[in-house]
Order: sequence, then C-alpha cells, then structure tokens
Amino acid sequence: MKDPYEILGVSKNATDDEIKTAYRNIAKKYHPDNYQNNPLADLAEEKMREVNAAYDEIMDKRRNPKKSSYEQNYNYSGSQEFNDIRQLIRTGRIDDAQTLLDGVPIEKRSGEWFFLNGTVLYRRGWFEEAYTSFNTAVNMNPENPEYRAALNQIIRQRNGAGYRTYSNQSADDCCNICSALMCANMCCRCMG
Amino acid sequence: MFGYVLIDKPQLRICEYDAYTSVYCGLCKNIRKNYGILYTSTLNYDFTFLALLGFAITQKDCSFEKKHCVCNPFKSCGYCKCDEQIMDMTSAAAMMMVYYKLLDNINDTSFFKKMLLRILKPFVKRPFKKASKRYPQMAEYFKEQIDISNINEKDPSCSIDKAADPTAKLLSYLFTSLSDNAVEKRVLDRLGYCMGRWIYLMDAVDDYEEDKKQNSFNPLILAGKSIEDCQDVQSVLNINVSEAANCLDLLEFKRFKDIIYNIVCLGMPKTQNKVFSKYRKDEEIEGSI
Repeated sequence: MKDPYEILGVSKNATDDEIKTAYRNIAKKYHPDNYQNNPLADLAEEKMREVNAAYDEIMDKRRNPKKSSYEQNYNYSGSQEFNDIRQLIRTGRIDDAQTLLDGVPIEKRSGEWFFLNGTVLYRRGWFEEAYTSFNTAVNMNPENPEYRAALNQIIRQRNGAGYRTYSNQSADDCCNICSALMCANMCCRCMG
Repeated sequence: MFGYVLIDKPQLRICEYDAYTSVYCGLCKNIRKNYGILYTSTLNYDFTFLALLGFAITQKDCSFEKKHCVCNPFKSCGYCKCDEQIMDMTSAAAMMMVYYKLLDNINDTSFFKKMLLRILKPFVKRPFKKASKRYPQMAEYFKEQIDISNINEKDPSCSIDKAADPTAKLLSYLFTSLSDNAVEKRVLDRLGYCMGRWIYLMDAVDDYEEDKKQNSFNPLILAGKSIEDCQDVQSVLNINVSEAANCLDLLEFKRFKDIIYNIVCLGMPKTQNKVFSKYRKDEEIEGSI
C-alpha cells in the first residue's frame, strides 16, 4: 500500500485543512461525473477508491472523522427491454450493444434508446453523434435525471472542462510567483 | 499527424524545454541512422510527442548527452537516450505518415502542384518501404485506415465522427504500441483516439476555406458547420482535448509529466486558438501568441 500522504500529494506535517483541500482537488479530477459514459470509468473509480482510502487513513490516525464519500448513485430507471443493452455496456461489450440498438425498429426508439445509443457512441469516441443522441433523449424525456446528467457532462467536456482546470491552475501559479516577486521587490526598497 | 501537437513554450520551465528539444533531436538522429539524412527534414513535433509519451511511461532509464547536431556540425544538441525501441517505432511511423500525406496532397491539389509532388514520390517511398519491412503490422494497419479514409471522402453523407475515425484509430494504434501493460494500453487507446480525432478535425478547420473554394471533401462543410460560428466548431474540438486530459490523469508518469500536461492542456488549446484566429480575423488574439 502506497504512502497515503504521497497519494494526496501532501507532506506528513500538512494541516487538516491542507489535507482536505488536497483531497478535494484530487477528488474533483476522478469524480465519476468526469468519466460518465467513459470506457475508462473503472480506472478512475479505482483511483477514487485509492484517494478515499488514503484520506480516511490519514484522518483516522489524527482523529475519527465521518467517512466522506464523493460517490453518487444514479437511479437507473431503465425499462426491461433495454436491460440487456445496459448489461453489455457495463461489461464493455460496446459493439454488441450497438448491434442490439441498431436492431430496434425506428418506431420503438424511445428516449432511453437515444440515451443508450449516446452512451455507446461516447464510449467509441464518436462525440458529435453522442451529443446529438443525448440531446434527443433529453428532448423526449426532459424530466429524466440520468439523460440530463449525460447531456450536461458532454456539454461540460465540449466547453473544455477536462483541461481548463489545468490551464487556470498554471496561470494562477504564474500570477502568484509574479505577485510574490513584486511584493519582495517593494519590501527591499522600503527597507533601503 | 500534421504539426499541431505543440508545447506552450512560455509556460514550460527551461529544463523542461531542453528535455523536450532533446527528444526531438534524439528522434532526428534516429531517422538519420535508419533512413538517411534527407528524411530528417520531414520530422515534426507531433512525432516528438509520441516518443515523449513513450519515454514518460517506460520503466527504462532516461539519459541526456550533448553532441554535434546531425544536420549542422557547427551546432551542439542535447540528445535524449531512452528506449531505443520506442524511437525506432516512432521514426518508422513518421516515414509511413510522410508517404501517405504526400499521396493525399497529390490527390487534393492542382495539376501543376500534382506534377511537382509526383517527382517527390519515389524519394518518399524508399523510407516508407524500409519502415514497412521493419514494422509490417503497423504498415498494414496504416493502409487499412487510409483506405477507409479514402472511401469516406467519397461518401456525401459521411459524418464528422466517421470521417475522423481512421486517423483517430491510427493514433490509438501507435499509442497502445508504447506499452505492454494491459491497463496502460486501455488508457493509451483512448488518449490516442481523442488526440487523433483532434488532429484530424484541426486539419479540417485549417483547410476549411480552401476546401470550400475547391469543393474538396471537408467533414465540417458536409455537416453544415459554419466556420464563422467559432463557438460551435470549437466545441467539436474542445471535447477531444477534455477527454485526452482525463486520460492523462489515469497514467502513471515516470518522468516528463509536466511537459505532457503542458502539450495537451495548454499547447493544444493554444494551437486551436491560433488556427481559429484566422477566421475570427481578431488582431488582438494573433498578437498575443
């Protein structure tokens, strides 16, 4: 088992607040929302488990906090006829899932069909058609949270959510360095 | 691969920039050794990224040495020495890509340019044949995807996703070849696919106006996307960078992590912005790059 402090990227002397901030920042990266319909979701889930275990181990040693969980459970309100397809998607058999989906007659293609079609397309990397499919699913069933969540996730990715955090962080670091240098310069002048 | 995968140089530390150029020079040296000095001029930074990624995740040690430049004996270069197999594979892929890019350009250009490019064909075919002999499976996969791409270009109902699929799959193949680890291969597969899609679509954006004038195949034009609606077309590209960035978080980097993140999360959006700026005709954006 790796050192839990190493997993969170903090020193052993970090304060509880620093540990909480580090945990939140890492958890944001591996949050299930970022990997929704992603074929690598299981790897992200594993990383999330590792991070959670590290955080719990550190906090248990310091005191006994409540166990935090960043996991959300989506309520799959799917119908019976598409359960086979959902099972195929869960086990990574995307091509088989696509074959079953293509076999559904056009008049029977409900909101759930478009949602599952979008899921399969997203896993294949066909993002444009996935976006169209999720949009259709939400238009047909606007009250369904599962379809809405999938559409929101793809919209976030289309807006650059995956990489903008890094861009902003990098810019912030540069601003911090410049500000620190400016302050140091002014202090030197004040003190002669 | 068309020279879009670049660093955001101002955001790199000097030591990281030196490491990055050492990988480029190492690749150049490998091309000279395997294919001849003439073909070092075909090297671009897209393939440098491929080699860099391979070195970033390999278990083998990395070292740097300073020697004379292979092209200019009065210049001194830093060379990265790491996994020679990765270097050989990358340079072979580069030679195959150069050949197919030339064939693509011969098909897509005017009569006189076509004649000029045809003269280059036998020169470019030589290293292609040598690379294909060394990596027959890679050559076969290249041919398969290029053939699919050519068929797609004749299909008036070809979607953006379908058009980008062959290039995406090619890069996916190359990236998964960088590792023997099953879990890493899964991540590299997705990373390669997303970056391949992005490269293909960047090329489509770059050639949009010319393709519209010459009535050439362009998946964005076919899909009814207007290049003036930058936000819409940018979204088509952004998702690939977002997904690629998510993949990076799942890789165990041994070295060069910050350079890789710089290229994907800063460099690629910057290149994207630069290409779009010619359509926005925004002087402020052009000036800031």
